[in-house]
Amino acid sequence: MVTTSPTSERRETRPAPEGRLLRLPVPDSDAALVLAVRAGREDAREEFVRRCAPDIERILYRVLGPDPEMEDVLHDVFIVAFGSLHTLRDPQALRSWLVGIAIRKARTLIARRKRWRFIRSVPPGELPDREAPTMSADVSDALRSTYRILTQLPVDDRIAFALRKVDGMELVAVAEATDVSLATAKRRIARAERRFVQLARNHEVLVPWLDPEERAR
Amino acid sequence: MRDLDVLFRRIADEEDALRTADPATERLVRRLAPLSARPRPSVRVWALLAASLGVLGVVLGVVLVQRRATLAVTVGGGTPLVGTWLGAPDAKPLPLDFSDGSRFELAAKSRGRVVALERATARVELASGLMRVHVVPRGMIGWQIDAGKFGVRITGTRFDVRYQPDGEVLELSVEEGQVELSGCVFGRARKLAAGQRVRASCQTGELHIGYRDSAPSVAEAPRLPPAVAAAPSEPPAVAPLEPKATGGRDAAPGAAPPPLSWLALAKAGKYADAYAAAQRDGFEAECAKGTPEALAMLADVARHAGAPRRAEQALLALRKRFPGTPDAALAAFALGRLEFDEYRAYPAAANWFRAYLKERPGGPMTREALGRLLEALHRAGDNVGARAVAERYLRDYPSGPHAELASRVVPSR
Repeated sequence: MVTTSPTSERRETRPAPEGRLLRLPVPDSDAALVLAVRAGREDAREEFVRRCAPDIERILYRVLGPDPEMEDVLHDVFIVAFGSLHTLRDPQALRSWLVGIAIRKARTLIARRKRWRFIRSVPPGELPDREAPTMSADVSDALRSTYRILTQLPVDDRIAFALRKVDGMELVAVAEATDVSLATAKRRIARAERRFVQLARNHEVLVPWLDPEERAR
Repeated sequence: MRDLDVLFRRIADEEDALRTADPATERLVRRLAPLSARPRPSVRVWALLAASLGVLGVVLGVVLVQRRATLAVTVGGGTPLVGTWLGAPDAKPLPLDFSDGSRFELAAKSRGRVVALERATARVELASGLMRVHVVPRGMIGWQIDAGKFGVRITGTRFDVRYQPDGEVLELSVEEGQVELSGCVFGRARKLAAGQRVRASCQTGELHIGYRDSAPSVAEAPRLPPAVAAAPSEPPAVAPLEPKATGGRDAAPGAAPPPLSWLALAKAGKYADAYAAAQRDGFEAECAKGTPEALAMLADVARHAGAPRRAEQALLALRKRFPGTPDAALAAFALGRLEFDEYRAYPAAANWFRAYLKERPGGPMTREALGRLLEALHRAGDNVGARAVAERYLRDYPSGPHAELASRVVPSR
């Protein structure tokens, strides 16, 4: 084996000097945090997770609803992120990059469930018995019915719809997160909304939330 | 606001309350902490555990440890340091053997290094020369090769990759499986399947995708917009033609009626059938003789049938045979959409949208082409280009469908 030292070497890590251990402050900005994680700083990795996980968990909630596999998906998102952080060209775009990973992971989970639903004993979309302290019975039932309907939509339509309608994401952000054009994102949302309203008419708990013309159509 | 929108807002609030009541972040931090950083149980606890688990537990532990073990690599019988550059000798290759059975072989005079080795990911950098890659398709390891500004994501596969740092040229030829290319001309990601090969340059913007057993040169590529020089990949070989039904006077009495033409099927909205018919009747022949309208329709049929490469072929034929016409410009726009929607190749898409705007200034698709160009540049990370287009878009179409994006790109407005 021959080892060489290219002149253009930039990423070679130098051995830490013996003696005092100096703890560098964790960077404030996302871009600097990315650089610190890339440099292998363990404290930066933790900060990375603490800073980004709540947003990513929120996105997964919107797409999946309360789901028993939520934390596993969240874990997978960060595994992928740490493994491919070097591919992030613009560290300023960290958040949207992470959201993109989360969407792909959620999509895989939904698609997998659709593939295997014929052997599932529990209906897909069945929600775990977790209730928020503030949750009223009508919203709790509506939430369950909503995600039950979402499981019946094509996966891409469902994701775009949940991001736009439940999360309130801007159209441009939905298009970026789902990696499609603005026009395609709009089309998916509109298609999902039509189908949602159509299916909601069969859910007693959702009918009161429909406009009169939507109920009658 | 509609009642339904109010409901969605309340659902979002309830979800947030659920998250707040039981946040996952700290659990996640613990799950992601490296094994070495976790607190170790005391010796006494270990002794108790060892006594209670017995031989069976130990065996089970060994199995589990092996399953969770970090991937290892050996080079010429030794274990190289992660990050150390490796150079193959002048006359023979240097193999990197990974513990999962995968092998990366640096050809003579080539240089590379292992950048990261973890339980779930492995990353190798090719500095220059040729590397033969064989990744064993088992386990959950995410493989990645970096070569200059290019990235190659790998599933189970076998391929050769060559990188020339001088011209930032990447050449890759897939023997088995599939790879996903990113960086430079590839945009966010472009897939390459078994039998395909690619040559790309960051410096010149060259992108040429073809098949391993054919050698079309870039010069053979149909007319392309400036700065792309990207040739489409060659379409897969056409299935053997079935004997054509002759019909008419020669048809035997009682014989089945002649099959409908692809055009008739397409006009009836039966795209899958139309595509099958076009394949049966000779796709290339249709590209060579069809009218602009027929070629546009053929592209549409192929796209709806899930054959974007064929759609590209029809559109490129249209541009080559009817240059300078409004139809050729519309074909450029359609090619931009294909690159954008099917391949996420944003730089290539941007060039096609530019081509449309140049060939048909003030044409019927100007607003859409400008908006798509803005989106493509934005996605490709070309902030300067995107800002210029965004300013023009806001000036010409202040309430257009891409105005929101344009406003974000030009924040000072």
